Amino acid sequence: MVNDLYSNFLATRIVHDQEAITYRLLSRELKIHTALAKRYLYAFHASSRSLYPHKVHATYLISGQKSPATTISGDVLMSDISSPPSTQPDTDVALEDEIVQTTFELVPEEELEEAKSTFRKIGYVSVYSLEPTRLPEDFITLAECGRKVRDIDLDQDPEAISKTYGAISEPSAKRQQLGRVAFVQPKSAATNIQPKAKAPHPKPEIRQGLSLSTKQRPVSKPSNMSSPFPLGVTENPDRPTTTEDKTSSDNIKKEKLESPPDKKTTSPIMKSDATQSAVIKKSKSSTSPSRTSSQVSQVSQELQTMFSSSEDENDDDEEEKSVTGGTETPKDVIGAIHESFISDDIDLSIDKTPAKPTGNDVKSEDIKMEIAPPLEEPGEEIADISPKKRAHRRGRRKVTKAIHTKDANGFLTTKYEEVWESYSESDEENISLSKPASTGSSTPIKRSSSPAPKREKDVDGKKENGRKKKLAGGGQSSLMSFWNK
Amino acid sequence: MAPVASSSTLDSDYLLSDPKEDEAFPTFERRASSRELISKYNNEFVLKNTEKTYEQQYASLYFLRLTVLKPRVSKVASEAWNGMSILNQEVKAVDRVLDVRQGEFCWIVGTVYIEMALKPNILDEITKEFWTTAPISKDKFANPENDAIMLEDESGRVNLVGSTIKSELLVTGCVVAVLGSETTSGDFDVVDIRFPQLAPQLPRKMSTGQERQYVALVSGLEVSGDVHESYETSMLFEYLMGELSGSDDSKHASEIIHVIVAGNSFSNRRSPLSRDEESPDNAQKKKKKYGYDSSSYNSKPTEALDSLLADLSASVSVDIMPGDQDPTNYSYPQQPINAALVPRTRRFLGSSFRSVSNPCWWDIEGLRILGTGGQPIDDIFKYIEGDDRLQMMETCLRWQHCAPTAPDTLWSYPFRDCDPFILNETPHLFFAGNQPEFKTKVIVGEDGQRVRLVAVPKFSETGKVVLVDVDSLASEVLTFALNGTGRD
Repeated sequence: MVNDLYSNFLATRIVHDQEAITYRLLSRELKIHTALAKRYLYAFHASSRSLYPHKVHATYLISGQKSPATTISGDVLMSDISSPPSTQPDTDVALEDEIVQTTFELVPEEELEEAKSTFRKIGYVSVYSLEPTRLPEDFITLAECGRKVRDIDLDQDPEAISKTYGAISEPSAKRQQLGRVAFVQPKSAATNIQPKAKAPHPKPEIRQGLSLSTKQRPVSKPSNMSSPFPLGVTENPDRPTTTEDKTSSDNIKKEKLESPPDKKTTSPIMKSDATQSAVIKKSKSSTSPSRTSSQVSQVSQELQTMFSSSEDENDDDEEEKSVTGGTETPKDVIGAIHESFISDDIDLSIDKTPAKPTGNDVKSEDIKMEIAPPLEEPGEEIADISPKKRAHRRGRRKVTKAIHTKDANGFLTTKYEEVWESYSESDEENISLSKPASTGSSTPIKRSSSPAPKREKDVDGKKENGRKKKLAGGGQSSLMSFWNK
Repeated sequence: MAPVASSSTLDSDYLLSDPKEDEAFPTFERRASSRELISKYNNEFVLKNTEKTYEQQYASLYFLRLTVLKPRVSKVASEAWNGMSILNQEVKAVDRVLDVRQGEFCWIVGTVYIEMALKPNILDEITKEFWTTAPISKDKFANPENDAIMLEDESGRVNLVGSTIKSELLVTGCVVAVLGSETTSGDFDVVDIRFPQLAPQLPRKMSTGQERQYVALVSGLEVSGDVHESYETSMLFEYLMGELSGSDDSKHASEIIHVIVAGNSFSNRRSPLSRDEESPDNAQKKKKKYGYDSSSYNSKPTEALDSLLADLSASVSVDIMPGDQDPTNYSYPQQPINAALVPRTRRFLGSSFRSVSNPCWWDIEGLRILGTGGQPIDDIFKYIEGDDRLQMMETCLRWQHCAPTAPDTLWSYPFRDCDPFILNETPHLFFAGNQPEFKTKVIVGEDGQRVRLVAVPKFSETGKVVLVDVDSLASEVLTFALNGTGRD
């Protein structure tokens, strides 16, 4: 009669792992209705007496109305003596019907009977949780279960939660998919090639006003290509499609820029390569082109709403500010910001090669290989710098973490430990990175290798802008960095 | 286990039986209902950053208040006193307080000001720099023997005396009409007093449906995110989501169409951890930073509340209102808590989650609700003897002002163009959050206005949540208790 699934589950978790299991956790783990989970707990508890004597303890929930004597009086004074006599008709007494007081109480099994006797009317008694030993007075242990449940529920469709577990559904509840959690996950999970490829441009685009910013791209791309990441390759192809904001003046500038000899050497190859890859890309993945324009605009819209609904990340705001200085339309800017977000994420995610578009990757890598010989020099440079850059982007910090462990008696103990945690949002590093780069401005190759530093030089002393760009690129910078500077 | 006999007709052991695989359990859905914020009033509470200025004096707030409320009180007073004669002397209205003639029976309208020795006073603060004064309890400012009640208008101020005035509930900032005569010493001996009385009330839309609808009021959750978080909070959220108990309880929970979290949702108690951080060892390690030190920020309360609210918002529509402990401005009116503090919950913005100002007006299925986080009532409490929160709330409605002690002792923004706390309308439900205990009653106005007053207790201390029936205004209390805590 006893279902193997749940009894095994409960035996493992409670008797073996010495965990407390609430009905909610059980329902989440087994994907069953909470009412059924309560019955499972009951049945397991009943059977455990013979199977695991004294190893399973139950906590009950009683709902109902307490006997008047034990009710904490919160009731109204019907005839309020102190109320102003002038305007207090007696009619309101009629409205003062008895106030229903319902109590929900958690009690350990030992005190169930006693607790029941304090109730005048019992609605339900159910097994709330099973645990190896009696819970502490404040039922702390159960909070851990609640946390697990929340982790499971997180990002689940409210409707699904209601259907599966029997939670009440709210017809109007719509979880927007633009919260931070939702926003980040798709990126890191399915790291799309496209965003990576785009990463370099947003920054230039943002600074459209700055003359040289756009030039770099051709140069930087080659460098990227030779780098272990295939991102660079896709960049060129994307640009035409994604960057709607590109103005003719930019193009002119680019042409001008490309005139310098060192760039020339690389650019033809790059271009051909780029076009090739673009073709390949388009043919290979039908999704990528669509993403470029439509998706970007969609995302930018999302971003707009995000910003309008009081964005939490200061750095975002900062970016926005720094960005809006430019001449582009807000939408473009936001799109660009989004791209920069994405690029950051990818940087952070330690060059996980994109999971999804593997086919593309392979292709682009092949292309890279072909191209590599002419680009040897830049390639080396990149090899030097790109890891460095990555290293700079990331950092470590000391964080105090609370670690909950259960001791032999089944009590939850909390230890605070200082742990080093890696993070990736510091722009102090970014700045320090940019400085060396600017000093080495004389060598064009170096420039090409790290897009951001180049810009600074290009901007003809507009270092501020460069820095801002950096910030925009860094994405997750905090306000504190402003003061540090 | 043997089923325990219970007196109820309900099958209380419904959940204490062996599971049947194919049994279908009911699931419930909340009714779609209108849960509007009354923007006409709320807009005045929400201050735009661009429009905020602190250059002006507070006097304009009092001036505006008197300008608006004087005609209303005068109307009530003239109805009551016109044509009345005392000692063969006909009572007449005097427009300005300073125009009162000695020995003449008349009535005047003005703003009450109570001079209280125990009230915080900026001049005292300065004095303290030179002399040390004994610390005094600030729980109450009231000291009936020494407090002087005055009435003032644009022209001046007159001292009110007499037993009538002493017995009335009065606080600084309320606008009243008083009837009496000036004594030889220049005081005004009060014979009678009138308030503006309840403002007009919109008729309540009575729904014809059999289904009940409730609004749940909870305040003082004080979520800390600590390990030792009170577990009642989790029980409450499980109940509201309909998972906690049996199907009847779930059904009841599904009748809750809206949840108002009325202030102090975040705990401002410092966790043991943060105290550790202040130990000398750590203090030395900490390097001085200019500006805000983000490492001192304790994100636990917001994270914990966020995950709770995100769960809840998926199941019921929720409004969160700030209280005096919450991370928003302290001065009244408190601005909505920035939704960025609750990133997960924020995803329900625009559907089932809102962050609202304190105070705030709602129109929920035709039920007009005015709610505060409780600060005005707590502040009035300091002015008077006794602790009848409901009377204070009722008197607020009769003063037609929901925060009379602002800006005197209740910190407030110096409004220039309007006094947003004046009530132009009487709500059907008036609640104050974070009160010491649950109290409720219905008051009836002269024009048939019916108002349900609810003092919403602090959940963290009482484990109580108040449900108010949208149609009948009946109230219900849910108590969440851990073993024994709710029993005595």
